[in-house]
Amino acid sequence: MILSLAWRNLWRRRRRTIASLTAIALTCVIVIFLPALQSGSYGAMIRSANGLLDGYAQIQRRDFLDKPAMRLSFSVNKTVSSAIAELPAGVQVVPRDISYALLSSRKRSLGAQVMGVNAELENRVSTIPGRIISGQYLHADNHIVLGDALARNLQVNLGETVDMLGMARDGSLAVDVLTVAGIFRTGMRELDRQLVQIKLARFDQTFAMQGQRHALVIGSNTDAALLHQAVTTLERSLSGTGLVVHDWKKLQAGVYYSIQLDMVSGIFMYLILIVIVTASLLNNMMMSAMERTREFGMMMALGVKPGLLGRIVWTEIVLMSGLGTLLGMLLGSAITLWYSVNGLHFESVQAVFEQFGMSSTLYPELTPLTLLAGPAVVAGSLILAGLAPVYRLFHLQIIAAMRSV
Amino acid sequence: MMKTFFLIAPIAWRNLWRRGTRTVLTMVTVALAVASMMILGSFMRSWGQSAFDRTVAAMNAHGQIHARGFMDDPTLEYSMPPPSTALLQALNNPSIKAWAPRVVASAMVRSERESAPVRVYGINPQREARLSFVSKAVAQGRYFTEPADSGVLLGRLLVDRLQVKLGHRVVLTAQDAKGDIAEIGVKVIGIYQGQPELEKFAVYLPITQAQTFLGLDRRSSEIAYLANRREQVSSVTAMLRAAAPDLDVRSWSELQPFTRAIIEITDNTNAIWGFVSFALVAFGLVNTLLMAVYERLREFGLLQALGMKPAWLLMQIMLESCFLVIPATLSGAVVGAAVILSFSDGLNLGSWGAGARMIGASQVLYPQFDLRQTGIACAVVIGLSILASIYPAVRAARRVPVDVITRAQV
Repeated sequence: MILSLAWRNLWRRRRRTIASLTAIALTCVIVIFLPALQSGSYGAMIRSANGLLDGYAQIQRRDFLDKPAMRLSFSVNKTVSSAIAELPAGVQVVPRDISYALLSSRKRSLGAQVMGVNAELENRVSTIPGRIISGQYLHADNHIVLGDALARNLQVNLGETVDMLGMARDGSLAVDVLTVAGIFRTGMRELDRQLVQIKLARFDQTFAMQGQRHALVIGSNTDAALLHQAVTTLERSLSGTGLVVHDWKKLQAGVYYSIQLDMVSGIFMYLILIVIVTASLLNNMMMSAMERTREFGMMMALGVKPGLLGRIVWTEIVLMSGLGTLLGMLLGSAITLWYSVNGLHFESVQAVFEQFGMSSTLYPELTPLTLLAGPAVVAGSLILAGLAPVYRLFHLQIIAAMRSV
Repeated sequence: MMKTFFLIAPIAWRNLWRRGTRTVLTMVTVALAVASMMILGSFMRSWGQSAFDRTVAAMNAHGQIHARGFMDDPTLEYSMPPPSTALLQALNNPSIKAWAPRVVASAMVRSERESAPVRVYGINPQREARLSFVSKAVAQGRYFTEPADSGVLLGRLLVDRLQVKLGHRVVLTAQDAKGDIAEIGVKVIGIYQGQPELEKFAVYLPITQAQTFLGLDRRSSEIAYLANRREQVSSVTAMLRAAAPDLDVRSWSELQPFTRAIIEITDNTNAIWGFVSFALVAFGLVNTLLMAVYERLREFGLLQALGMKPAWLLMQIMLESCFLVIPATLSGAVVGAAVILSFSDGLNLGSWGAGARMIGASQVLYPQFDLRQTGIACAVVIGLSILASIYPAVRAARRVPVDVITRAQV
């Protein structure tokens, strides 16, 4: 009975109810679509940032991340290899060496980051082998692949040689002559201008590494929960060895913190939005109760308990909030789903996305969290606000109420 | 007319307080929206401003002049002779605050223990001091005294990495203008602090030393310039472009599309947020006013039957919305200004600073209270709100008195 009374009461003021429903629904659409868009772009950012080169995590000497010095290398001894052997199946681990050297072509000399990689395994943790735009990835011992901007600046072509001049691990001069096998393009300026890769064995020889490694890279193309578990396992079994496991939040601190920053400022904005909407709807609720003061007074005079009246009024508010939220969720998820299939294109801010190695088309991600969290807060705060008019009811003076206009 | 106004204004004011709770709630909503618009706007602007400042400080200045071809292939092959008379005249125009020639080259730096790729800047100490951060950023040791000084300035992070100290020698290896490998041993005379990217990669030499080292004679790689004000950048750039038609003149926004995109994003966010919060306010306001009108239809009918003109009624309702919106907007603005001013010492983003830097801003943001922006925002909110209240007011004034009075309850 309460329900049907409340329902009919709602439609006594059709226009106002529709206006309130629209406001609630639109707010819900905003708090569904925008977080989904944020979450989708975070996913894309993390995937492309991790998949490109750095992987999900890396095993390194403690100080190597801040100071990538040649001498901060480690040998893959029994402790390390048994720790890796313990990892769940599907988690890929690939070794790397890293140094800096001067590269010279016939015409030009430029500094570059030289990375020794296992050419057969590298594609398990990095997309660079798949981003070769001309030539091939490393296949012979004396091969080198370069970023396209670096190749352009050095003015070298496929099949030509480049001289490499650097400093070996033991402090001696490291000199080598390599043949350009391929040129890659990542879209990230720093990498395309700075990075070259050579075979691990060649690196070992040229830079006198004596079998030592600078990093073991754990690939990111498996289930995130599995990777998280792998990092925890490794941290435990490597403790006390001087080695640490840096996950992507450390390796790509910029990406991680910009996501955090965006998330916090987003939440702040949604909260303000919800407060404004709630305040303006609370007004509606108060009015719809107060304009019926006379009616309520009459009903109470006839013996209706304030509790029952209160329940009716509150039910009205719950019904309205529920209906609006539901409408908003339907509309919001429809819009989000449509864009999650078709993508949302951001032309003007392409440069920002390129910085993160992403394309400028974003796909919002409709998860239970993005679908439910926002609308739940909206509905919750409205229903709470709805207690205010109910509270007033309990303090109604019957006589005065009946006299009021 | 004035008499009517003074008659009606107090009525309108008192009418507002017949429903105190409602009035206060509506005012709070409006104030909240105005304050949030201001605060968010100010933070976004400070974000954009800091992205701009960082870009300018990161050796970009407001714009740069290069030989054609340098931007695609930044090597010494594309160097330019000292500025021509026409260009010099343009550069010395009063709307240009400062300019400086530079030599720019990629090189390797080597200490006894480590080596790293760097970008060598040969700078004119006096001119550069008016243009970029370096002269004020030397934390240890000293800055250069003259173009023919000797020694090198390294960033703090690079010094760490190379494991050198003040007074140590490092070796710079680069390709000179003829394409040969040139080497120079230089003493570290100063260590500077600055943006991490610069600290890691930028190495400063006095310009004459760099020119000798790289076999450039008196040629330079770039001329950086700073306009007096940010708004003048495009006109100054156009003027320089006209003075040096055979050189490549670019403003910061062409040099750094990333920063321009950041500023566009912050502007767009502001516009969207302004629109959303205003739409919400307008919705709440119209709803409130409509209701306030509907519940008083009988009263209006009575007033009209007693001889109140519809125009006065219209005025009364419009005045009510003015009395509602104007104090609310102003108090929102005061709250907004207070919040912004409380952050005027800077908002330190702490650990999020790394993220902020990634998106172009700096560790500490300085939100600015902008009186003009605030004034415009308030005027827009008040103006549009009053516009929005016309609809309920007209509805009230149009009703036929008899019709309304005879209906007991509406």
